[in-house]
Amino acid sequence: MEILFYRYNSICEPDLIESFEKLGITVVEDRTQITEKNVSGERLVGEVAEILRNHSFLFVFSVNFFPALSEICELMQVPYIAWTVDVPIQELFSKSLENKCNRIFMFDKSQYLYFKDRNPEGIFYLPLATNTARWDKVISSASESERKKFSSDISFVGSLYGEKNPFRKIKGMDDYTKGYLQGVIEAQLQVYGENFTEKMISDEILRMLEPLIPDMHQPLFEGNLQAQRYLVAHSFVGVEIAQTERIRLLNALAKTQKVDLYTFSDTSELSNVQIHQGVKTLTEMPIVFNSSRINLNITMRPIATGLSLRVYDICGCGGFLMTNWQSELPDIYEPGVEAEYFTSEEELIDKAGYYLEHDEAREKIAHNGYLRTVKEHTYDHRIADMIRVVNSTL
Amino acid sequence: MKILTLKWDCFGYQNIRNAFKLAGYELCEVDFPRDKEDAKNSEVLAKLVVNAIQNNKADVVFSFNYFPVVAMAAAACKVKYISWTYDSPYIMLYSRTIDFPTNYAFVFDKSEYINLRNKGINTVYYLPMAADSDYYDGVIIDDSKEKKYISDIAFIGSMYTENKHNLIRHFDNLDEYTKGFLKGIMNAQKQIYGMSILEKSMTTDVIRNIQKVCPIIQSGDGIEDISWVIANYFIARKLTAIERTEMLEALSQKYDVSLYTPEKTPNLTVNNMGAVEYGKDFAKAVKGAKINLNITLRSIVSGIPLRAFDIMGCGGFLLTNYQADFLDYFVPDVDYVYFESKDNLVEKAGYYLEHDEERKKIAESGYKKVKEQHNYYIRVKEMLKIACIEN
Repeated sequence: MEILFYRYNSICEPDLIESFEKLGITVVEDRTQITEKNVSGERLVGEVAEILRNHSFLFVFSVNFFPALSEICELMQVPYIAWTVDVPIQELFSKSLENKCNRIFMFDKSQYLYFKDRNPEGIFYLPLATNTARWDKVISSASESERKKFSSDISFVGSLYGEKNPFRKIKGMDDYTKGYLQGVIEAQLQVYGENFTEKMISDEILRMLEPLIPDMHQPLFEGNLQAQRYLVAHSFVGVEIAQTERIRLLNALAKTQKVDLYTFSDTSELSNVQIHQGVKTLTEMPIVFNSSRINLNITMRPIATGLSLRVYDICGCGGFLMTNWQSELPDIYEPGVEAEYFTSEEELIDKAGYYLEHDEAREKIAHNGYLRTVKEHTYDHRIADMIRVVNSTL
Repeated sequence: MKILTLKWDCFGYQNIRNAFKLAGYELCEVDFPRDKEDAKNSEVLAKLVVNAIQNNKADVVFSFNYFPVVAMAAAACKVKYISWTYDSPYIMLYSRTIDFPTNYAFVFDKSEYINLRNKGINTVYYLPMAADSDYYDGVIIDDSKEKKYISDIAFIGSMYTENKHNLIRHFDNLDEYTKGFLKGIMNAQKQIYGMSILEKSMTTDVIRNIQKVCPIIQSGDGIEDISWVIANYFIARKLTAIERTEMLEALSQKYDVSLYTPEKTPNLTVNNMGAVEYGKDFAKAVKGAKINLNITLRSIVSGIPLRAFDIMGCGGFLLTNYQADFLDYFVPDVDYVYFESKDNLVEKAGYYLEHDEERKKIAESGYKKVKEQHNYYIRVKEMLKIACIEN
């Protein structure tokens, strides 16, 4: 049994390959996207068509969705399985989403609900996971000095979005629109569990922004108000919210607590936060998670309901998770027992203070979260679910 | 035990007096001209209340709504002051007098109660409103002469579009950025019931810009924030005007809607029946309608408005926007029905107009609960218990 894994170097890929192989599946990799950037659709199609012509695969697999890959699979009648790990994924607006060969698994329920009607037999919901065995190895072989280096009261590993925020680059917005969007941002910042940003982007706002945002004229979005609304809400306004939120929350916490931030982003808007260089995901991040008393997760708003990779990684490393409320949290980790959450700045500060003073309670929660992850939230579990679903639909 | 009640043109005055009597208390009263004097600090009012307390040898003072001068008078005479505030927003609750130990200030909106408690005020308590079902039981519609009260859907209330409510006419002079900002937060708030984002959304820049065109004088004596005043007195009202207009228009496109309001509504397709007086006529308007609407004023964040109790107390079927406090006492789809958006409202109105049996069953259940558990007597007992007053 062989599959063709089309890689672009998403961090999950090695773990996914491992899980496939454990099921007795041989994984053949196409690494063109890793070695070369911006492979054209034609080139991709030509190359993969060649491989598929000469070889029989159970299915083709990729992290996230490649329309060109779907096209060639549709042509050659090979199932194409994709698993989304991010929001927004603009390629989902491609007509290729509707191909019958697709079996697309989406990690965020709101993303799934948004797109599923375009391919009811081919789109499914599948939350993310982590590889606890991998983290166990790294953590158990960590040196004393490494543990000391990364030990922390409260830590946050991640981007502050400054470098990825196209919202602040928009020029020429009239004052009314600027004010309107700022009002929407301030309102959304207060609410967890409901993302209403998209509903706020009216047709008038879109018309106003059209001449100012070149992305809105990409083939996938041109003339499609619905898609443009999604784009503006998630790729622009949503990122602005993420940036503002992370800075505000970190600054608020740092007023009374010692907060360590590991990031490659610009940190000029932070005060009192201990800033460290970004850490290596595979070798250093697990030690940070395991050596920090509290690990923060602040989900970026476009991921409206789902749990990001970070959530599973923290718990899988035995770290105590303090996350913003996401409505899918209780499905995965029992709040207050296996993980903790906040629904406001005040609550975050309150709970952080509490758990820094109650070691036993905190360590118990971290341990419970770890056990739950090992038991139910590894890539092995998800791949097994994925295969089962695919088999039942073929 | 003698209770001094302050008489002004509030709702429920006779009801509360009857309830105190029923509970076995002696009563006395004094006219309280709070429309002629400033109830925050008028010496005239303070003296009036002090004299009334002393001349009547009253042990307790009661008023609907909280008045700082009364708090001062009661404290001076070392007697307890029980107030039950049904207005929203109600800025006098933020008076520095609020935490006098003689105060027992009851508020009907649990969010407001929590708000004040979080500011360290321990003299406020949560007490939902009530209805006098016995009185409403006695009101009957004369089918032949009073056809005007018969409707499919009725809404009784203010549209908040009149200028005296709409202090937002000042806002025409606002800069474009702030205009856009306020529109943004109002649109966002429209999506959410159970929480108010208005106050905390406003940045210092926006507040400053608003102050420039419409200087809001802080009371000086109060602990309220400027953003609270702007959010609750201006934005919440404006948003309610928008919502009531949009919802009634959407409904009247499909169904027969009677609007009982003093304001002219030339742009709405509803049957504008004019104002209806609280009391008999109000009850007739409720009883004559198959469905009675409640679209809560946005400054009431979680509370059950007085109107909702009156509707259920009249045996009316209540279709209301979601308000969190209802869930403390009533079961949705059993005692009342709530909607979560304009579309949801139109859908449910249509459904319940076509399902008479179900609708009547729900109205009956809500009526029973209000009659038995949400009357003035039960509320009075609760207030006196909390204030540690025994006869």
